[in-house]
Amino acid sequence: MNSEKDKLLESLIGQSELKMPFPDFDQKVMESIRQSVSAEKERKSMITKSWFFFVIGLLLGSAAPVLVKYMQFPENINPQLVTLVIQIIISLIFLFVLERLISVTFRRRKQ
Amino acid sequence: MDNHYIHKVLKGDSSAFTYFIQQYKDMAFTLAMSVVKDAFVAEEVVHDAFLKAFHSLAKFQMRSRFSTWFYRIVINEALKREKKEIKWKNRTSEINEETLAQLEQNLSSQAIEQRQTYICEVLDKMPPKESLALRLFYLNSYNIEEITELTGWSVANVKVILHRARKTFYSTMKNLIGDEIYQLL
Repeated sequence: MNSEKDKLLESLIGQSELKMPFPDFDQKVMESIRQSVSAEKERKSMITKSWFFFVIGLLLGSAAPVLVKYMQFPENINPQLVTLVIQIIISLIFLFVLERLISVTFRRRKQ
Repeated sequence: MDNHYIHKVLKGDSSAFTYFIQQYKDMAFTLAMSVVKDAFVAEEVVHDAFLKAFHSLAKFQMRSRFSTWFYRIVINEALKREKKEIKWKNRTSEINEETLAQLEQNLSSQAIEQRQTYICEVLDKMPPKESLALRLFYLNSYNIEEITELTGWSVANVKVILHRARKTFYSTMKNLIGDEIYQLL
C-alpha cells in the first residue's frame, strides 16, 4: 500500500514543475547583473583615486610643520605652538580619513 | 557543462551567466512558488537568488552540483521572504485502497493539462515546507540527506514533514477532486 501510494505520488508530483511565466525574466536578471558589475567597477575606481589623493594629502600634511619654520609670526605667537596645533589637526584628519578609507575598501558587498 | 560556464563567468565574461538562467529558472521558480505561493514574489526571489549566485560564484567550490548549490540559495531566499506560515487547519484523513484507486481513476480520466492544474493547485494550498519537501523529494529526486543540506532542516524534521506532506496532499487532492465531481453533477 505504501509503495503504491508513493508511486502515485511520485507520478503526480513529477508533473508539478512550473514554467517561469515572465518572458522578460532573463533580460531583467542580466540587466541587474550588468548594473551591479558596472557599479562595482566604478566603486573600485573611486577607491583607487581616494587612496591616491590620501597619499598626496599625507605628504603635504607631513611637509606643513616643516614649512612653518620658514614663516614669520608676530612676537606674541609661539611658532612651536602653531606647529603643534597643525600636527594635531593633520593627525586627526589622517586617522579619520584612514579609518573611512579602510572600511570602504574592505567593505563586503551588501546583497 | 556547468563547470565550463562557471570558468567563463569567473574569467570576466558575465554574459555567459545567461546559460544558468536558462537552465535553472523554471525549477527555481517551482521551488520558490512552493514556499511563497505567489508568482510575483517567486519571480523576485528567483531574481535575487540569481544575483546572489552570480556574486558568490567564486566561492562555489564544485564539491557538489551547481544545481544543489543554487537551489539552496533559492530556498534560503524563499524562506526568508515567507512572511507567515499558514496554519493548516484541515484535518487530514487516512487514505484507504479504495480512495486511492478512485483518485487514480479520476485523475487518469482527465487531460494532462487539467491534471497538472489540479496538482499545482493542491501544492499551492499546502503549507510551504510540506509542498517544498514533496517537490524536492519527488520532482527533483533528492534524498533525505540532500534535502537537509538544501533546507537546513534536521533529518528527523525532513522525515516528519514528508510524512505530513503525503497525508496533506492526498487529503487535499481528495477534497478537490470530490468538489469538482460534485459541481459536474
